[in-house]
Amino acid sequence: MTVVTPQVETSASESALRRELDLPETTLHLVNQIASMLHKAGLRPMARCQQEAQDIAQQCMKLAWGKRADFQPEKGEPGAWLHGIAWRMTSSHLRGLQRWPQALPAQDTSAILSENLFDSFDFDKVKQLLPMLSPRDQDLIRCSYLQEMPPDLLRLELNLTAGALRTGKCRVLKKLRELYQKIFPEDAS
Amino acid sequence: MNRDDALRIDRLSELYLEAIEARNDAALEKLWELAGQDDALLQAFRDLNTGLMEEALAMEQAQTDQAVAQLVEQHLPSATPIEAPGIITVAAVMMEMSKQPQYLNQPDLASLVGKLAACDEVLPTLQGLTALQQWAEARFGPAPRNFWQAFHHARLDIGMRQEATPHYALAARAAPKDKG
Repeated sequence: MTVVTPQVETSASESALRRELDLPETTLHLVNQIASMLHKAGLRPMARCQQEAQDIAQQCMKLAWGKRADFQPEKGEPGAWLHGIAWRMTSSHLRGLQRWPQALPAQDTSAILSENLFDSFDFDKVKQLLPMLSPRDQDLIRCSYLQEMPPDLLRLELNLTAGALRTGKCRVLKKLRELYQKIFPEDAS
Repeated sequence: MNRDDALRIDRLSELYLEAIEARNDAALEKLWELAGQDDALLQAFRDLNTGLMEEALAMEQAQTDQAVAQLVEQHLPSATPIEAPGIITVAAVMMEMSKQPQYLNQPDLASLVGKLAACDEVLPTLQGLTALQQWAEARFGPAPRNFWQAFHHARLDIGMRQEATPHYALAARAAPKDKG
């Protein structure tokens, strides 16, 4: 007698999500995201943030698998979908601790990226602002934007991890933008 | 990735950091939605999260070090904290590089390697590979970029070992004086 094992059919989207959940770095990325959100919301010390982040990341992965039918690959990668669930769970957790503002109903997201945010700086003017920055920030701007060094070489040149390079760039761009608007207000208007 | 893409990712990363700091749900929703369509942006956000973690951990470590150092100074006045030397000589870097003999056994670099290995000069504090290469080539002569990369890595390895030393040496007591 032949025993026929029932085949459980899995959709392509479910397989993609399964693969993402099985990757060892997925948990690490989620823990990093959640812990940095907790820390930015004022939770201390970092060891507590990491501990809570691990718990939330596990719940997030469990919830994602439970809601796998909602995952739509055409709307984005499974990794980004998981990160989306993670920030919602984290903000909800922080609301419970009264460290995150209450969610406003039907917030308008269209204005967030509709401003003219992506206008490039006038790099000739940026050169004039460089002496106002710290030597390290000057190096970062010079290598990244004026010499257009590839990220790997840039990290080696400035002795930075990928994470430190990314946060460093964000902070220096913010400083530069503020200086730019102050010194060249005609460009900002 | 072209220049415009790179600038766009840098700008969106900046917005992501602002959104976390301002606890702006609407912006985070929109930004994660965009990251779902763009692998490079997703990687940038992940790097940013890692960077924020590293920053927070480094800050806490610095605070802990300072507190421990204060306690040691206050309660163990006879202790002699040993400072990290912070001094790296050219010869010490060459010694470190000898762990990677492929860079040292090139015949056309033999004279340069000899000069560097015999040099007790202290390396100046230079930021980055290019500055180091410029200084070294002006002082000792030219060599391929990958040689200076290996030299730079060896210097960083020694520096990292030295940075770790004070953690272990902080509470070390002075050796008893010889009575004879």
